[in-house]
Order: sequence, then structure tokens, then C-alpha cells
Amino acid sequence: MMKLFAALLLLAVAVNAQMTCRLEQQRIPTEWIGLNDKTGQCLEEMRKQIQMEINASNIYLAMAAHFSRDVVNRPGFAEHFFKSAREEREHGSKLIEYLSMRGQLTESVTDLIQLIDVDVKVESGADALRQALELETKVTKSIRSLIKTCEKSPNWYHLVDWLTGEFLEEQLTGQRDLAGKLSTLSKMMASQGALGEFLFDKQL
Amino acid sequence: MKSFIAVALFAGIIAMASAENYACHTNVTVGCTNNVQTPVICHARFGGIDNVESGIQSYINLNLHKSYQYLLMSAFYNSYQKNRPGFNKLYKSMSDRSFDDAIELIKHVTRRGGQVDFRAISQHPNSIAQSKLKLEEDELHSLGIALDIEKTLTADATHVHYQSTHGRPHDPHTAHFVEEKYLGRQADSVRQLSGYVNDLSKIMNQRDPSLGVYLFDQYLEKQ
Repeated sequence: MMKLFAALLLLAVAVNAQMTCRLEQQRIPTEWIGLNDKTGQCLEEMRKQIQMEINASNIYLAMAAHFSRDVVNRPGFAEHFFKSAREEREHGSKLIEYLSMRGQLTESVTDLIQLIDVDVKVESGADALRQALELETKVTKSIRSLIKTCEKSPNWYHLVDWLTGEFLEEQLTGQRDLAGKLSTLSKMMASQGALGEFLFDKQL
Repeated sequence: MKSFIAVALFAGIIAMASAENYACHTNVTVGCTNNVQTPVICHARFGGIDNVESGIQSYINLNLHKSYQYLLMSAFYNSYQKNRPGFNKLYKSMSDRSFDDAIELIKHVTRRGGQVDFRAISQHPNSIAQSKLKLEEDELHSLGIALDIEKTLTADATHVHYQSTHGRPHDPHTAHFVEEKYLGRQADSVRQLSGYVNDLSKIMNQRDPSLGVYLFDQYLEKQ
């Protein structure tokens, strides 16, 4: 009897000392998420948009690295593209936070972002601005199509409003800024290419 | 004796002369006398940049890679089911730090006349670093993953330092840069995370650690 008691006590201590790493999942209602998105298309495209922003960030990093080189020596362009790279990463991060706010990303986050190789060839400052403008146009198109998808039944009203108000706003002003820069630079370079680019870089 | 000093002095002057480099001047002279079509280009490369360039490249790749891993870890702890603002904050700050590090390293290598190749940015010689971790882990596991990541980053920084001090020629500028920017801070980071893992592991060593994990998360949030 005494032995059994001791054994039980030992067992109790052993159980007590056991590490419990996984906390039990609590049952939280999910009605508040309220997204009967059976096709999952909107979510799928949101995930793709996140990856697209990260790729854009890497492309801008590659451009910034190019303009930082001693043989290129355009510190103004380099800083401009480092800043763009940070902004694109920030966009990706904001989209992720939005999904969390809407009750998503409780699982399968590992595949959300991949680091993808980018091949960027830049001829000149003007060429880089042209490529950046093309890239932003592509991103804007993608956001527009994302909005379209998320407007379908069930309508993610808030997401659509947020994408339109915050993301499209930034895309449009960003595109206008790039187009203006490209226009000024092109005019400066019309007859004095190298000098034009040199001066423009210092103003950036 | 006098003649010996003279010889030594002469040898010294020869050595200095041979160490001096007229490549750029020669380039310019050749370019200007021959009326070449393309502009003359001179390089900033000196010292042991050849020895450290590849190491810095892979350290950049690793930083970007880990920055996004940390970003996803922070996202996971920001979900309503996890809801751990402390863990979210910790991993987000580490993600930002690694991204900033990548940019600093790009600036360093280009300052020295090097370049960065983004065509293989996803590659890293350390295959463990490349292997895909499952990031949807519980709190204690995630701290363990973070500690391993910090050690991997430290090992890469140490590797660049080794290349800069053991290559011929040395690259003291890079060695100093790595010491000042990374080695000390990485040691702190590794130490901090190992402390976190051990604390949390002790707190969790019981049947129901849920309140303990909550308090630990609160603690992390205040850091």
C-alpha cells in the first residue's frame, strides 16, 4: 500500500514536471471574421500581392546597389532606390498586418514570402526611372485587379476601401513623381547627357 | 654599416615605389593621348576587397533571407489566435534590423569598389540556412529558432571577419566594420535569446504554463 502510494506520488511529480510546450488551442468564435469566401480568390490574390511587393523591394535594392558602385557613382539615385526598397517592404508588411487584423494568418505563414532572384540591368539613371515607372504601373494594375476580385461576392468592403484609399493613393502619387523625374532628367540630358545626369543626381 | 643602411634605404624606396600604383593615372594618360571614344574608368578597389567580396555577398543574402523569416514569425504571433504582442514586437524588430544590415552591407561593399549580385540573392552556401523552417511554432520553439538564426548570422559575420584578417592582402577596413557593426551586437543578441529560451523553458516546466507564457509575452512587450 505504502509502495503504491509512493509510486503514485512519483508519477504525480513526474507528470507535474513534464514540459508542456503547446498551449491548448482555445475555441474562439469565427463568425466575426465573416468572410464566406469559398473560392478563396481574394485571399489568394492578397498573398500574391505581398510577394509582389517584396519582389519590387528586391528590384529596388538591386538598382540602389548598382548606383552605389564606384564606376556608376550616383549617390542620389542610390538613396532614392534604397528608400523605394524600404517602402515596398513596408507595403508587404502592411498587407500582412491587414490580413492578421481580419482574422487570417493563423496558419500557413511560412510560404507567404519567398526570396526570389532578380536580374536587373540598368543602362543609366533615366533607364532606371523608366524601369521603376514600369514596375509601379505593373503593381498598380495588380492592385486594381485585386480590388476587383475582392469586390465580388462576398464583398470585402473594408479591404477594398483600404486598398483604394491607401495603396492606390500611394501608387498614383508615386507614379506621377517618377514620371515627373524622368521628364526633367530627359530634358536635362537632351544635349548634355553626362552633365545632365550628374546634376540631376545631386538634386535627388 | 653606412653602405648597409644606404642599401636598406634604397630597398625601402623601391618597395614603396612598387607599392604605389599608377593605374588610374596611366588610364587617364592613355585615354587622353589616344582620344578614346569611351570615358576613362578608374576603380576604388584596394586592399583585400577581392578576398571579402564573396563573403559579404553571402552575408547580404543571409540577412535578407532571415529578415523575411523574422517578418513571417512576427506575423504569426500577430494573429488573433496567438495574440502575443511581445513576440510580435521582438521578431519584427529583428526583421527590421536584418533588412537594415543588408543595406549597410551593400553600402560597405560598394564603398570599396565591389558590387552585389541580385541574380542569386536567394542562394546561400550554408544549406542549413537555406532549408525551409516551419515557422508556425509555439512560443518556446520560436525562440529556439530565433537563437539558431542569430548564431547563423553571427557565424557569417565571423566568416567575413576571418576572410578580412586571413586573406592576403588583409582588409582591416572590413574587419573593423564587421567588428564595430556586427560582432558585438550579435553576441548580445545571441546571449539575450538564450536567456529568453532558458527563462521561458523554466516557466513552462509545469502542467499548465499558459499564464506564465502570457506574463513572459507581457515582459517581452516592455523590452
